[in-house]
Amino acid sequence: MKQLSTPARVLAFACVWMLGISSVQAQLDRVYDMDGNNVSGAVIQSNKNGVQLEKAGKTQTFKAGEIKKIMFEGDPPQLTKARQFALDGQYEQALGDLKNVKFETISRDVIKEEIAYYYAMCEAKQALSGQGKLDDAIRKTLNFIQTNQNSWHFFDAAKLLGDLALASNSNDNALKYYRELGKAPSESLIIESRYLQGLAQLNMKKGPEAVADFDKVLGLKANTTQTARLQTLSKAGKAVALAMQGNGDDANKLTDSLIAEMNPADVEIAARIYNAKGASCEALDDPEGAILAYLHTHLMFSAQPDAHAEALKRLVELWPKVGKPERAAQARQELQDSYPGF
Amino acid sequence: MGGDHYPRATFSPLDTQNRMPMFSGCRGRLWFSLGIALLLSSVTLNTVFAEGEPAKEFINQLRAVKYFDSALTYLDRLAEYPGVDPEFVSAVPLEKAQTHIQQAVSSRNSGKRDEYFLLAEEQINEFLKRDHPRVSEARLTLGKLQLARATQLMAGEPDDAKRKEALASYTASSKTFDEIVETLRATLKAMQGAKVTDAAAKNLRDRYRGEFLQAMNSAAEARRLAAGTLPDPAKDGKELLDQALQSFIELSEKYGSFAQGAMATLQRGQVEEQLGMKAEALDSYIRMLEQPDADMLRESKFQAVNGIIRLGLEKTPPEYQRGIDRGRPVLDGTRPNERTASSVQDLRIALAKAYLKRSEDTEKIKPVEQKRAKTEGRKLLNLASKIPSPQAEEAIKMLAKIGIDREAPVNVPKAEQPESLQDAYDEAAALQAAIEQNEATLLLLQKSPKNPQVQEQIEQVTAQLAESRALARQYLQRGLAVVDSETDLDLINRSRQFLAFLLYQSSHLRDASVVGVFVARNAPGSDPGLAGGIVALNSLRLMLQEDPGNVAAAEQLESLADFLGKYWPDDPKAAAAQGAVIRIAIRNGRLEKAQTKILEMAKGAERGAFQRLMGQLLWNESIVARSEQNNELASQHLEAAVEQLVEGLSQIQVPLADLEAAKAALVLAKIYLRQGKVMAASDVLENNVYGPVKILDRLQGNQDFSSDVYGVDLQVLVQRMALEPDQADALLQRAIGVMDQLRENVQGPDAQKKLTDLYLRISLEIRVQLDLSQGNAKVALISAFRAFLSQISKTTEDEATLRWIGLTLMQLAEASMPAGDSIAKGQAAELLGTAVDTFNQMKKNNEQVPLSIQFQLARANRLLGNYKDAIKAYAALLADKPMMLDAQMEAALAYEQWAATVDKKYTAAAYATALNGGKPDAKKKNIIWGWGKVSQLTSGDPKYRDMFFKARYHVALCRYLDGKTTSDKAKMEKAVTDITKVHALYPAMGGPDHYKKFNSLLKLIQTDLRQPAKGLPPAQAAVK
Repeated sequence: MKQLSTPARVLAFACVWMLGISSVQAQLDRVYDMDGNNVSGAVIQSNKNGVQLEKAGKTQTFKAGEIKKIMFEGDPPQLTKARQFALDGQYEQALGDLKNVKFETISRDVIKEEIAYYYAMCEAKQALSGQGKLDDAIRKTLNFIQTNQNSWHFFDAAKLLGDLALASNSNDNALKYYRELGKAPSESLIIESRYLQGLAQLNMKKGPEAVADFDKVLGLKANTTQTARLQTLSKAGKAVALAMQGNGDDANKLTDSLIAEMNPADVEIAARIYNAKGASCEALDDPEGAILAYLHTHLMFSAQPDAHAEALKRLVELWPKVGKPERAAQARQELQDSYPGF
Repeated sequence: MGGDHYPRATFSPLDTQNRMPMFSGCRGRLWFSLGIALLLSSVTLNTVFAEGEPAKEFINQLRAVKYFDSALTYLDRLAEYPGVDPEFVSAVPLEKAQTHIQQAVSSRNSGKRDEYFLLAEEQINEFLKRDHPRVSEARLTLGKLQLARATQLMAGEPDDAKRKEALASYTASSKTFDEIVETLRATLKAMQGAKVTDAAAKNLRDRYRGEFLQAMNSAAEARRLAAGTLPDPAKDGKELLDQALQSFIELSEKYGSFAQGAMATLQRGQVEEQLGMKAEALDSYIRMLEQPDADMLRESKFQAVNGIIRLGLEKTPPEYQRGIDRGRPVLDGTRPNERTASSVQDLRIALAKAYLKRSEDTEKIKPVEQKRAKTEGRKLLNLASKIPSPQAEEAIKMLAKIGIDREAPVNVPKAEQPESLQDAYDEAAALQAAIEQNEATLLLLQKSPKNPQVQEQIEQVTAQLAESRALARQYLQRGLAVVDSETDLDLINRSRQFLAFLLYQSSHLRDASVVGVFVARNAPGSDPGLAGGIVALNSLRLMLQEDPGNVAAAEQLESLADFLGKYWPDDPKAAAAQGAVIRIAIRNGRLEKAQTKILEMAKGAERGAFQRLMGQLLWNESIVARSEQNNELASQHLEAAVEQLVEGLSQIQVPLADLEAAKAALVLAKIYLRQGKVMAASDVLENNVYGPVKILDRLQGNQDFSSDVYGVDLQVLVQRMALEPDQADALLQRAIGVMDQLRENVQGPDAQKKLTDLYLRISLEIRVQLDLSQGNAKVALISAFRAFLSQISKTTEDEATLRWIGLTLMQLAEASMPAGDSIAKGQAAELLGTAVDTFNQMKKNNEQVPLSIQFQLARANRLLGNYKDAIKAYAALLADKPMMLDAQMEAALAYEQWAATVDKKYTAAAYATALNGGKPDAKKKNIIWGWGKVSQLTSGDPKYRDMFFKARYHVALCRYLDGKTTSDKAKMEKAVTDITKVHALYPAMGGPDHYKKFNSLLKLIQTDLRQPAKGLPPAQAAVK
């Protein structure tokens, strides 16, 4: 377990001396869980499995995968802003703020780790949305993992690496990183790891293996909303896998059941469901239906970059089949403009 | 063109028909955009996602990207999708109709458009057979469709049969809307009494009200358009137009606070214009312009200005100036996204017509102003001709009329394919020799006396010139296409630079700038690079002259100037490029940027010249800031101006400065005077190098400038009299001498008017200086001015000078009155008495007493507390000139001040007169309006903003004083409401000064009401 850095101890001591209160109360870190609830205290230990927070003499453990964010005492204001921007998906603004952080003035190692992670995360997310080079992002994320083996962001970074590998069609690597994710301490990350492995199998056109992975997720009892969400995504993945194996009818039934219960505000789920619907229509030799399905993703859920790119790619193929080559050209142009190299 | 039309952002079927000559400005976009908004409203209201297939949102998206076929396919297959709202599924025909309507709107083919409208109509009729919650919406859509179809039928040159069919369709449409109006009127009436508490019910009521107003508007519009199908709309369709007018009047009068009601003001004006009620139409257009500055009303305002210009130009002789005064600010205020809008093109053309009329007015307009007006007109037409639209054709025709042929066909010769770039360069160079020869010949011919033979030769040489330039360009372009890795790089760059130059000469400015920039950036530090860069720079400058709003060109120019300065640091041409950037920044009002650029320049003559210019601009800015009551900013600008001017003037190396330097020095002297630094001002005026007083003799011929110098010198000398009592006599003699020079200097037919204007300016300046001084210094200054004026009055009978003396005495009197006093006493009363004597002397000398003298006499009486005489004088003045707002405000003030002096039993009546006016005329209308009417008539026009807030302040003050004197709490509370109401509508209260006054008054009233003296919430400076 990592100990508090020396300057931080000095600071804590100074506070104790000045205020005559305990060192633990003097330091105020704040851990936020996935539901946005927070607990304040002093982060006394941090490793890849999570952090320990001490408050009033009691220690509380937070597992990686169950932490949304930690605000450390001594966070430079730019980091506070950047962190929030990054978590809100505004990566460019986040990077802008991170660039203004004066690294040399930071005394706590955990804060330095935070900065390094959000740098890597923002660049990776930008690359995944077609706004940067995947190779560079992979290199930087790997560098973060190698130099911060004990960061509580370790598994988040592993997932990012898997996503980047999947986007670069490096499916074996994607599987490797997603399996690493499966070693995380929290159940939600383990389930997500299985779902993501299914996606990697899909990418490798291994239908039965993908179905097996998705079924494992679907076989679990959904105790949390996160698990339920992953199960919905797994159903969408399974539908694609079924369509891939020529079983359009079952795929169609599955996607229709998903659409009936779908919450369109969850862009990722909606985009994957409509792509699955598109795949099932294609399996049923219904290009018109497939186009309508992919158009849902293209026109309404384009905020999910990989699914949007996939939908555009399919539209490039499908429009000529219904006598609309000019729309295929439009889709191709948009694909090239938004996701160069996809 | 046939049946097809130009594409535009929002299709308006009315664009293509109803081309009544008397109605060129109204193209009905307003109606159609409203119609489309309403047609779409049913599908855009609900954007909250529900579970299941998001059918509404998806169909909207498909329509938005114009995938209408996919939208129709989707609607056919809608039942296949799980979780779609059954109400939406049962409304598929209506959704299909909406899709067909949008399909029609997007189509550029009139045949197809009609087909889509028919399909839409079929679907709606099908839908209307059902019992469905959206039936009312469908009926509204049907009305719109009938209207749109009729409009479609009137497109192009409709024959009698089509006109008849269109009339039937318009009539059907108006009836459909009438039914909707009646149904909704009943529904709204039923809702009127009921208490509406929940949001859904409120929304429903608002929706019904919106639909009601929309239907009413559309019914009227359908009738107006129906009249347009008849051979003589004003005569044959009078009944229809009268009906339409009644509806628009009802909408604009009763529902003016709703957008539809406000917009109906424009339509009302248009129908009035159609019916030949020109004065009423003008009134409606002006009222439209007075509507609040809301986005929804902007389009209507563009059309209203167009109407004002059109009505003015119809008159004999044409009244162009009102159109220019109203139209220019509206056009200048258009937003980037509006600049290509059809209504803005109409406005450009209308304004160009007004300018061209001004340029033809040889009687009233000076030649230089005529030329300027023609240039303005040409610029507007040039802009309009470049934006693809039906108006572009009109602009091109108008340009042709003033001798500019944008479409002059040039028979472009074909150059042979050169074997190499060197061949091409040689050919182009040979042609350049011929080009130069032709240019010289053309210059000679243009200077020769004009006759048909010379004209013919000019045409021939011009054609040869165009041909040679085109050939040379072709050679170079073809030569550059055959370069390979072995071609000499220097030759390539020289060829590119040559090409850029030829393009520039042929006025292909954009291409010239592209090629020039390319050479500069590819050959930094080289001669061709610099030459190319300079060509690009000049091209960009010309482009910006033509279109100052061309942001891309401005940015490119700036970047290019930086680049040239970086790579050719020692070249004066490259350095001068920075000057271009500064000039553009200044022209675009970006003074901070210009200032930064100036500071980046090396010290020297050029930087000095820019600093002097900047100093003068900052002086102008300070005047603007002061007029907006932002005194802090005004002072900052003055400080900055001094800094720039002092440094700029110190850069003058040559012993003899020119007019430009003298002007800058004069501004510096004015600033010092404004800052109370009289001796510094004097030093500047008499500086041996640039002092305007010293070098004025050398700068002959500029009457205005000389007058300005004498005016400032006069003030400086009189102020010095106060500062240097031992020199007072000598300074007085000098001041009298300057006064003589001033009078001698102003010559010509309008000398008296010029002198009067100049004196007025000096008087106002003196007042500012008096206000700035305090205590003994103020007394000394007043004495000095008085001594000077008394000396002058003894030696002159000149009317303008006497008027100035009277006016300045008034200013001196007011300045010597302690703050808060309304009646002059002591020295102030004496000064006023002298002023009254001076004015009376002028009255004796003139049979017709000028208005300004009558006004000043009335004012002097008010200040002396002779309220009865003052009111009598104001009433006499206002009986002739009721719109003289200054006099109206003075008269109301006289009533107000009088009210404070009357016996308590008359107080309420006296304040009521101050508020509501007095002195009724034969028609029992008050000649003096009172504060209430003044505030009412000055609201809504930014020009009268200051007067409006003053009037509102006095409304509250009168109520408060009345309430306080008569111990009427309710009146005092009403005064509080008066103030808070103004604040609610105008949070900035018209600027810091007004805000302060309102705030103090409010606190005072609150204290008297024994309430906590909270005053107003903090001012919102940004919003005025």
